[in-house]
Amino acid sequence: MIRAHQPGSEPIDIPETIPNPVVVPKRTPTPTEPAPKEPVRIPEKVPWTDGRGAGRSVFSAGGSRRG
Amino acid sequence: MALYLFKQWYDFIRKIRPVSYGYSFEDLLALLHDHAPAKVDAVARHRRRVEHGHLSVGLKIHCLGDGSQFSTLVAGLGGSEKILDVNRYKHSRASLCLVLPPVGSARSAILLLECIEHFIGSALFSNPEIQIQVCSPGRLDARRSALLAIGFYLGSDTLRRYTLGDLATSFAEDYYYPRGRRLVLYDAEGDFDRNFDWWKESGEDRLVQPRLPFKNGRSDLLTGSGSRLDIENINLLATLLVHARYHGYWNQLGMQFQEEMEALLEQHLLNGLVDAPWVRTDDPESDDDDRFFAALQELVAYAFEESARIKKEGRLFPGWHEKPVRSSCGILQEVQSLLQKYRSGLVRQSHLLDQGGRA
Repeated sequence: MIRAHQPGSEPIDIPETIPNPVVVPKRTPTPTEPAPKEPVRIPEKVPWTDGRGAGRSVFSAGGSRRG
Repeated sequence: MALYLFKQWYDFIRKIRPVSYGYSFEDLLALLHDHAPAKVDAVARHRRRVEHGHLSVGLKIHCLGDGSQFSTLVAGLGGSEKILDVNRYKHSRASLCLVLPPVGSARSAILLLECIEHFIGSALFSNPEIQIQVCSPGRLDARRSALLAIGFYLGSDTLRRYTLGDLATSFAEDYYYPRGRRLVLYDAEGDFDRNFDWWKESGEDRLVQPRLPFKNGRSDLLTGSGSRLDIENINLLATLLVHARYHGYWNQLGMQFQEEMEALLEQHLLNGLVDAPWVRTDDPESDDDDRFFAALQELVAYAFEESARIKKEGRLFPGWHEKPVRSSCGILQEVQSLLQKYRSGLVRQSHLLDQGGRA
């Protein structure tokens, strides 16, 4: 900031820089940094049920029907 | 004895001929990689890639603060003695001047600065404590140096007021390479990397040469607190003007730009500014900081007045950027239009060349 002062008048502050009013700010696309890696979570095994028997798995014997 | 004499000679040469930087580009990228891997990879891939025949870009970072944010970077590159002390050029108020290896384009230069921002954890762009110097290969003559400086100033996203001290460097009064206090500065015949493509005019055809046609010589611009747009604009202006000066492929476009820029200044009764010594050359008459500074101050006053006028009007005329350059929208808008016109014109012609057509 530059301070200008003439005798008999109030000193005024003159800014050293101002934005150029005709420049429209633009962002050029640049590579973005990847987010920090999170550990890969492996889903726990959950037994599948078909609603007729608690804990009945599709992989268990007799779990599938054939026409 | 011979070894001793050689060392004495070597030290003497080092004292009068500045060495730019004492590290490799690969070392710098390796250091930055952990902090900005994607950007560093992009810089590494495209380091020497020249875009549309633009000039390569060099950068110097002058730090006006204590420079503590750079200490880890400097240490990682080999320490102050190896990285900073080899270069005796810096802004007179700077604690350090970090010279970066040149890259093929403004885009890579901006990316490189962003990588360093990630590493040091503070801003380089638009930071009052950081002064960015943009280096372009090829020495422009006095008149074209004036157009480079005026085009940069009016096209920037920041309008600045200067004191002459803002432009003082350690080479202002140098015995061998006196550069004065100017916005545009010639090099001091230090290191020069020629290994960038140069588009040469060959009849009506383009000839891509793998090396720059200059053995040495640069025209640098001390932006002060610089922005991404400043780097892009300086690269465009320097490309047009250097091609006009050295008969590059963009020679005609450069000459046309020069004519339009001078006509624009004339329209605003500012054409006399171009005659001031905007760069200190070998001509003893160019050794007049005050004459240069008077011209700069006139330009600054005109730009600030124009800015005040625009603010008073409340808002810009809609679609101003689509109007022809000479429609007298005010010098700031006209320079933006001119830069936009030549930026897109150059890229359009380059694409035509790539498609096999004649530009």
